[in-house]
Amino acid sequence: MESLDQDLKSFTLTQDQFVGYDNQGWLSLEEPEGIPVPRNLRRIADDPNKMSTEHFILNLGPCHPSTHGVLREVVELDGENIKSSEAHVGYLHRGIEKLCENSPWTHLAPYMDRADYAGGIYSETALAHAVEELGEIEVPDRAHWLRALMGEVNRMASHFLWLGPLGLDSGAMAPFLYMIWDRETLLEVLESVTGGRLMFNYVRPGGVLNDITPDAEAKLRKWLDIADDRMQEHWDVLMASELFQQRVKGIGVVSHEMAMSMGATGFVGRASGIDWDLRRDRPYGPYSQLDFNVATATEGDIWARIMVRYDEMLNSINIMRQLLDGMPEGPHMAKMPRVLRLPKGEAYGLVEGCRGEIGAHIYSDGGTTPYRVRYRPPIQYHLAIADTVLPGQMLADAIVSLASFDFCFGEVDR
Amino acid sequence: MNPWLNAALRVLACIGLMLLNGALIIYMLRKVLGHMHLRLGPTELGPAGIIQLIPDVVKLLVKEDRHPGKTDRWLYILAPFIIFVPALMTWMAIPFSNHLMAIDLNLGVLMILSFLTIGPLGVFAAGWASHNKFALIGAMRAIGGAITYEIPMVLSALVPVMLAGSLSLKDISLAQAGSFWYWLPGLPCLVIFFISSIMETNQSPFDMSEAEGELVEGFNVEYSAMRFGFMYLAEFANNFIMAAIIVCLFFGGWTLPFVNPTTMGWLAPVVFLIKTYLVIFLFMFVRGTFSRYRVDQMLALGWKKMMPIAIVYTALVAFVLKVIAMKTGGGM
Repeated sequence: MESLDQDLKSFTLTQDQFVGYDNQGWLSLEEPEGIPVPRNLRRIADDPNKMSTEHFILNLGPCHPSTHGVLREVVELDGENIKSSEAHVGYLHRGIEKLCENSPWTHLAPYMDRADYAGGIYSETALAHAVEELGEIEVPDRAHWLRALMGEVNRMASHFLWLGPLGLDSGAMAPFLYMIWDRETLLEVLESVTGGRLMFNYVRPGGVLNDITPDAEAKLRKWLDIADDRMQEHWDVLMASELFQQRVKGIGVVSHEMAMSMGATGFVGRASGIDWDLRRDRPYGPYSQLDFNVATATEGDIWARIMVRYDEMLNSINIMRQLLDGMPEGPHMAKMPRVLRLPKGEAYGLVEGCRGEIGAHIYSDGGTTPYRVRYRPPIQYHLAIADTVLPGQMLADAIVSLASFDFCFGEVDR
Repeated sequence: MNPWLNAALRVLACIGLMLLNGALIIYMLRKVLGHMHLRLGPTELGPAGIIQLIPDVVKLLVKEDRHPGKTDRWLYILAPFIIFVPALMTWMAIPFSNHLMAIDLNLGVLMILSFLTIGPLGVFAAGWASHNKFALIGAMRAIGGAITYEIPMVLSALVPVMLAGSLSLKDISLAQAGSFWYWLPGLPCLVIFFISSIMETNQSPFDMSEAEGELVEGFNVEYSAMRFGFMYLAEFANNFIMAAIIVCLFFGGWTLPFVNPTTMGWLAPVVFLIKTYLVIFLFMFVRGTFSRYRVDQMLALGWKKMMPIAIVYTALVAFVLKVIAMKTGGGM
């Protein structure tokens, strides 16, 4: 907690008052005069029998191309080897949970979009589940299916935005641009259905905003026809390369115990042997009627995470086909009162999001606005794990490790 | 003609070629990488975006030359030139045809390879003088890499030298005209030299010292405007030089099979440039395809694979040549 206070203090200081570990400064571990910044770096003493150089502290971010403005990872380096690391967050804090307390129950979806900005449909759905549970709102079947369909489209788009930059961080530029081509197609589908490419405001308590249009359906079906070929191409371009494999195999290992004890969900957990997928184990919406499998791995390294997610993408394609074919007829929105007033109480809605288990815990005091909203970001737990596995890696591996956890800091900072 | 004027004109010609090459490679890089990446590269200015170069160069020239406060001032100013000047010097010994070259050195290979070793020193100077941790790590990597690739590179260059019996690039090219080109007997050396060239020119997958995703821009992170431009110009010049050496050593220089190499006239430099830019195209192809090595993996590749292969193959070729020389009774 102490480090957090100091961290937040550094935001309120002006440029002159702020003294930290300057990347342009002299290379030492000396505590700078003035405001001390990272205090609880878990310093690892060197084995005196081994050769080592003078340690220095490096700010990876926030102005680093691989942490792009949202994460500051302070690492203690011995040459190229990382001795200790400490993640500083808060650069994207907007007070989303607090803002939610001033908005009517039906107006919360945009905030949820801005929390998980790469997979907004899922955080909207989690909140909608909670509101519907507390308000006992009957949601039409078609709405559930549309939520699942748009969710899977969004999941694919989000995964492309992870796998491509993962290649980019390891130095391969071509796969990123190949994947962006696919992501673009999926975003166009999302845009024509929801009206937004990133901030959807689509899933509302009681249903969804729009029905799927024939155009969007045709476009999505057209992409699904070539999707398997495209995935094979991405495999050939990025993952089949031995250069890439030797960069990711055996690196950034998250053990099963660590994953269990630190609350890993989603692909990080599955890559470390936690066989848990909410879509299968606590089915919501149409997932109990769909046929798909959940991949797991036990190695827990970056390669395992890539494998798990690659399989998840192939399954997503399959799920999208099933959803399009089996879409039930009916309305896409329940009859809702003009002003939604929830009874006193609390509810927790959760879904399997792009990055893990997304939850929204709401508490109502009987009014038209929430008394408290708590958003469960899976990435925050994964950030703690990433911070634990960084020491002992090389600098180049640390970048790829960080990228492999698919951080979305809108969620962490909220 | 006055010998001083003559020399000055030759140097000017080299500078002009270097600038022209820089402009050409920038355009080529954008187009080749662009099409490899399912995008177009520059398209707006002029036919196929060819005029885009002019505003880019103007931008580099007129941009504010930002000099960060904590640098080692003189070294910081000097470093781009330590990188730039050796790159320029190497152009002197490149034979574009039988007589079209700045100086006809009989030690051309040695001269070029030794000037190329100065480049990493400039990179280190830039990284050290910038007083930036990212730049320093990049500079360290550049030095570590330079030691790794230069020995296999020089060793593999020895094979064509031994086959031709000369250190002059012109003689090596001429020696290949009558017989086969040396890529066939020197195939392992060609591969090693090609990989070393990519390391030397600091390109992906061996762009250790400026690894963008890790070190921001590595050694040149604190440089801006034309100082930065000089570094890039030197990099593109090295690109050309390495390709030109590969062409001279392994692909017969300006010569063509079944054509008399001394009477090719204007065709000779054209053939030479086409060959060279084909090799550069291959560099770009590699650059656009693979992901980056980690620095220890690159060092392992250099020391554990390239070095032994280069030593063994060079010794083998030397031995075979000696045996042939003894059999035929002539000296080497």
